[in-house]
Amino acid sequence: MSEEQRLVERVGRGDEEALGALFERHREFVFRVALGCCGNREDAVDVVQESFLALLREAGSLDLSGTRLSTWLYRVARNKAIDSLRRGSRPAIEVSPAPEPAPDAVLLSDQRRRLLGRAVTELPPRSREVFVLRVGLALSVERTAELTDSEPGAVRTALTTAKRQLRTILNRMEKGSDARRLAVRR
Amino acid sequence: MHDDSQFEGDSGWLLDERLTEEEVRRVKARLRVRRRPTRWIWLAAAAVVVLVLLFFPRTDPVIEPDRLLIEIVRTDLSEARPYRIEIEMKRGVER
Repeated sequence: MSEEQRLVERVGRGDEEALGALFERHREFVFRVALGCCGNREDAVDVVQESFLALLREAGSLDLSGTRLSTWLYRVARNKAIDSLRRGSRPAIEVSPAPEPAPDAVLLSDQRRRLLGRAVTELPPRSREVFVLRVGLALSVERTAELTDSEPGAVRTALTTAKRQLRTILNRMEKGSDARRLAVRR
Repeated sequence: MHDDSQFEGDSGWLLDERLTEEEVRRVKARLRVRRRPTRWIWLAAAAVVVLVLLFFPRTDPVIEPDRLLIEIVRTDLSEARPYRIEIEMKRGVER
């Protein structure tokens, strides 16, 4: 039995320390998935909370044989993020600059971040999921396929589709902002 | 215009996003708050069960006819003054 499975079992028995350990280990991954899907921090934080509450509720009966906890958490977070988007509780995107940027990450301007984040939330669910994992989180094609329960070939196809759709959305957004700028000048 | 090469530069665009300390504190606090009622619910349920066992009058089907008899006699005699009613219980009569 893996260490993680043991921690999950302890959570199932109500061990707060084990829950804390799993939260520390997976919180950023769940947050980034949620942020990529929801497009705003508030909803993403709610999704993180709801995902770990789901873990708390289901840890007692959770069977992780043959799968990783991160895969289970990813699926929970994705579904909760989709629910959140359907509710449309908050306007999409306000990705704030990170407090401690990772040194190897490509630093983008805040404006570029906001635009991309908003465009991603307009993608159809399948395209958004693949784009967030493969491009947003820079996961391998194989890991993306594992998380999305599909084949690597299907991931590559979905990614190509997602990029095409994203180009269309970004062009439309830029045209819209150009039109607004022109309207202001007149 | 946007092309494919543009998205190559976006690889890992979410990796420098992190929960702030304040957000972490908020989530942890909510997780703790959600856990607490669960414990209280179990404790309250256990207390209710104990109280029911201690105070709820147990109905015994054998005693019930005797209780009804006492009630009939008490009604006939009225409650003008206290009466002492003695009933001799004969176990196994019904068998």
